[in-house]
This record gives sequence, structure tokens and C-alpha cells, in this order.
Amino acid sequence: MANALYGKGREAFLKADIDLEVANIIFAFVDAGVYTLQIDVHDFRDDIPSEIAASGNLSSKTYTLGVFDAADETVSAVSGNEFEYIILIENTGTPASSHLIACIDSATGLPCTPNDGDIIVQWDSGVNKIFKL
Amino acid sequence: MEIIVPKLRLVEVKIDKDKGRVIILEEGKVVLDVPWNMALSIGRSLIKQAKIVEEHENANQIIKDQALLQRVGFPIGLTNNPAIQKESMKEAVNSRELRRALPGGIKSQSAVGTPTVIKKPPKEEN
Repeated sequence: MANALYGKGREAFLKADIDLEVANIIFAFVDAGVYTLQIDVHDFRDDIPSEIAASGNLSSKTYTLGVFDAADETVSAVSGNEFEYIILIENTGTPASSHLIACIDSATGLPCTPNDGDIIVQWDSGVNKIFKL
Repeated sequence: MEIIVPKLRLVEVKIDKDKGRVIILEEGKVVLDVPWNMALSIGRSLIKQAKIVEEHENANQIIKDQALLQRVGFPIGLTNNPAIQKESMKEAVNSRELRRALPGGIKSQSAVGTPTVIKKPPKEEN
């Protein structure tokens, strides 16, 4: 599967349930061995059984012409199984209400096996940046 | 002033002016004789109502045209009549002809970028 926005996440944008400017946006590294992606079914973070690691809140967010971008983000000292997905999440602090936004499985460096070192996610510098609505 | 509202048969209708008044003649007989400002007001109302009636008369064609535009994702509304809009949406979704001609419906233009994951070596413990 190619990188994609979650169907329910798009729905949440249309219903103004996600405000990217206000919300805390994070991403999680997820092992495809424990999480079976259902892009038009899964809606909240509690659909993901476990995460290898999660980032802090994305900073320097921009939204120009529907294109979402932010500063590159470093996740410190990551350990655990190999992960295949980077999942973008609107983090409310409660998994059952944290919308899933996008699933990235095509990225330079994926799949990635953590080695206890830092992992930096450098967003696409092309026209789509993190994602485009 | 009393205005008689005739049902014109459009056999031989002529609109003319007489000093400060506008008159409508049907077969040579005056059927409407009003001051110019009232004629303007009546004219505007006639156009407004005529457009509503035209929309009703052509509703089926508008529904088909609007459905086609919706199916191809062209962002133009042909009517602001909610009933016609609703019908055109049903037509866009259900019409066998449209579905065959334009399979798959409207594609999303959204896209997700391709990031780079950079793995740093673990920090050495002292």
C-alpha cells in the first residue's frame, strides 16, 4: 500500500473534528507484524495494538494551501522491533479519541530496525510535504 | 389605482410607452397601463418568477447536467434549489449511464509525502 490518509481521518477534517493548528500532532513507529492496517476502517489510536515509539508534538506547523508541513522530528533512543509504518496521529492524550491521520509505509529508510539510537524523520521537501488535502 | 391582471394569450402582444407610462396592448387593446417605476418593478418581479418557473420546467435536464458535473468533480452549481440538488446527487451516485461512462466516481486529490527516516548510531555509554 502507498502512503495514504486514513478515510476516517479525512472524514474528521471535513467535520472539523481535527484542527491541525490547535491539535497536538505526533507520529508513531508501528510494527506491521502487530498492526494490520485498515485505511478506511481504523479511526482512533486505540486501533493500534502497540507502538515501537512515538514522537513529541510536531513543531513549526504550516498549512499553506492545504499542504501540511512541520519541522523534522527526532525520536530519542528508540529500541524495539523493526517497524514498517510511520503513523501520523492527532494526540488528544486519550487513544480512544486520538484521530489517525495518515499512514506512511513508503519512506527512505523504511523498514527500520531501531538500534537504541535517535531516529530522525525528515519530511518530504517536495510539493506534498507531510500531506496535502 | 387598480391593476387588472390579464391572462395574455401571446397572440399579438405589444409593449409600448405613453408619456410617463408603460402600456401593454393585446390585439390593439390596452391590457396594462402603469407608471414607468411600477413597470420596472413589475419587470423585475416577472424576470424573477419566470426564472423560477423556467427552473421547474427544466428540472429534469438540470438534474442530469448537474449530476454529470458532480460525477466529474467540476465545482459548478447549476441551481440553488435544494430539491433539485438532492435529486442530482442521487443521479450522480446511482445513474447507470453515468457510472458506466465515468467509473470510479470522483477521485481524491489528497497526497501524502515520502519522508526520510534517518537512524543515528546509539549513544556510547561512558
